[in-house]
Amino acid sequence: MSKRVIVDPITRIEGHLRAEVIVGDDGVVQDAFVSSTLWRGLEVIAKGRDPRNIPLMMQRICGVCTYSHYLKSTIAVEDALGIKIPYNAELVRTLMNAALFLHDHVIHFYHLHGVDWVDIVSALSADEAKASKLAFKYTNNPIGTGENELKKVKEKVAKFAQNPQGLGPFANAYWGHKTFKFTPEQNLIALSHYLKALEIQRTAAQMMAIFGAKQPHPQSLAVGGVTCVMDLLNPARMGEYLVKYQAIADFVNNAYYADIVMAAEMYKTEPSVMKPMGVKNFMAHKEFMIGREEYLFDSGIIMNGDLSKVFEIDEDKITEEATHSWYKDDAPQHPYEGTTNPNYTGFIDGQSVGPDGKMVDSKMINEKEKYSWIKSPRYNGEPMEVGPLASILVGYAKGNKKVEAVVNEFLAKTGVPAAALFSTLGRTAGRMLQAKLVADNALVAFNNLIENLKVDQETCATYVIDKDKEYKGRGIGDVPRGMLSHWIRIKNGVVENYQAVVPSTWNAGPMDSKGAKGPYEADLIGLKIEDLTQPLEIIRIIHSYDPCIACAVHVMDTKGKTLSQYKIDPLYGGCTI
Amino acid sequence: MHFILYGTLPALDVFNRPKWAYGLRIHDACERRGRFDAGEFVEQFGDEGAKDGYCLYKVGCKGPYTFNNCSKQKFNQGTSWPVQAGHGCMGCSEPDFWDKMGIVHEPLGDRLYHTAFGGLGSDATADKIGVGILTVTAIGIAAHAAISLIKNPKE
Ligand code: SF4
Repeated sequence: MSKRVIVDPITRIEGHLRAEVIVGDDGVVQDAFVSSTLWRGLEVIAKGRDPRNIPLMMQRICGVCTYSHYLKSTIAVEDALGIKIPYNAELVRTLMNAALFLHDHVIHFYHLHGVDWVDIVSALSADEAKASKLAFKYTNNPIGTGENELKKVKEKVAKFAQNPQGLGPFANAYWGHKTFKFTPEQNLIALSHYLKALEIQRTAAQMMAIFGAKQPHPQSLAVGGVTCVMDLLNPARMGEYLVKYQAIADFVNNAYYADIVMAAEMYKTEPSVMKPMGVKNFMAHKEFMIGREEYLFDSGIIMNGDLSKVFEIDEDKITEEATHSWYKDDAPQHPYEGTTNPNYTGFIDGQSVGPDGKMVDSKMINEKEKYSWIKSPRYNGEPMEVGPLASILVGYAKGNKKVEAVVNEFLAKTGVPAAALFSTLGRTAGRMLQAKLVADNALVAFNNLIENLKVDQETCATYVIDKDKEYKGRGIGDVPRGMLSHWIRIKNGVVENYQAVVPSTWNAGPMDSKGAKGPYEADLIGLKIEDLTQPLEIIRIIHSYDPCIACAVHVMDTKGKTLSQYKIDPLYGGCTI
Repeated sequence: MHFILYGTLPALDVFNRPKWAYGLRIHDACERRGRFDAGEFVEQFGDEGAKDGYCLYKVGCKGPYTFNNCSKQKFNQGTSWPVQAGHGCMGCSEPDFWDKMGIVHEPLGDRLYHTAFGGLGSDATADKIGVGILTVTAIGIAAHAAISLIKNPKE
């Protein structure tokens, strides 16, 4: 008889997410449903407001990749008003973007996804001398893996283990799970990097703040460009940026890269990690202007995993539908015409596997009706995966020299075939490779900026908003979690309509009217779960997408409706910053 | 924090915010305050004044209406804060700031200051006398900005 397993809340993500899977007696997932249990609604609040205020408001969709929304919303307004921003402003936005990507990807792998790969308890039994030596297998310049340092790491975490509340930040995970593959020494290396990454993420936040004023929620963009001209003309400031950038780039190349090579080596035979993904369509948008009309990442679409063809994106073919989402208008809508009218129908009563393996009464997703606050975005009617892997695959398939080089080097180093990129491991490796590309190329933008400042110090374009005119525009590009687009229409000088189609919506959305599943749900089907009370395999797959659900759901006024289905674990509470 | 360190609860303002953080206006401890007093204002982002660190009041700074310690404490271990990055304060710690602080890149004082003080701005609820003084200040600020433009035209 098939049973239902509910994972709710999925922790170590930004936001609130629930996964329900139906498993057969053999432990294999037969069907899967993913629901976001909180909603957003900024689109509704935006209506009727001055478009210049919108970017600062939109960045508050989220507490992690706030700059992504700030930037795309600003670009949407600029696109609508027909503003071309100065070259300097483009490059400064890229430098801030570099800070964001490096910050985000490092946090994701180490602090949100890392403990799906690294068994902390096992690290406590490692031989630090052996581990210290082993680190040289994965890089010539290891970080944080000297014998003494590793000893200290062990002592620190052992102290946590003696704590009456258990392992402190590492409590409550599925330690000792059969699908953990690292040796104790490898676990110790990664654990040391986990702690080091806490410092790195602080440095990355400062790197953003140099030109961005603060992080999260930077505040130095204006419609037309950037405001931080004083920092740009101050050599001490530019130097500060470089020092921080170099520390992080070093970590990415000698810790993050090394750890993913290590993971590929140990996990390439683990079926739950190598299982081919369910949706093999990928979409990515160009991003990271590093020189005049020169972008680090490309635009394009790959269908059915066929890397021999890349299609160009036709923005008219982007729609969102709500057959299984808690909104009134079911039919597909283009974001310019998109609506956000709630229609919450809640959960139903049923039974699922409890913590001790016995069946317990639960509130369950009603998959025949509506079951998520996330809409289902489609491109030409098809589901798409977006994210770093999509960006890497599109670049690779398009013959982007920089992307090709890092992908080929990684495959050669790990002995993993290109086909293995279409897996959870591939997704996790793709994110690291994107971080590496940013770490290796942000300097190009930095140097071009310095060169240009010698002859041109324009940082912000001027513009007028004609109240009698109607405008529409969009800001579209790839952000750390994938393709993000903001769509705005302006009438009488105020916002007439606003929609944001965010990366996690593409990946985490529910079924569409044809019953076609989005990437999360499709990826879970066919997965074998070793122990139904410890569904680490599910969590590892979902985490590999780097869910950011605060922005994947549409909030609004929840009058009269209690959403009591989620609880927030105080230790692992969604936000990471 | 205050309680853990000193064993007492901190003094609070009318919104129950600790005074050590919310006691002063952004404007009071702002590094560009000298520019404000001298009547040196950025007229447009990226202009010569912006390069020289002029006051951001005319491009929308809400520092004069906002009680917080950003200008003293800054962000990210002292790395920067909005005014240092050339962007005015948006008043984000004042009640209903989205609705009461007007347009982010336009000054409040010359057109909408009465809404900020009309009921929900922190100044209005502070106390009646405060309202009087600050409203006068707001008008003063607007006048000051306007006068400086006439007196000292940059373009
Ligand atoms: S108006 Fe703003 S920039 Fe000018 S002195 Fe006051 S706080 Fe500083």
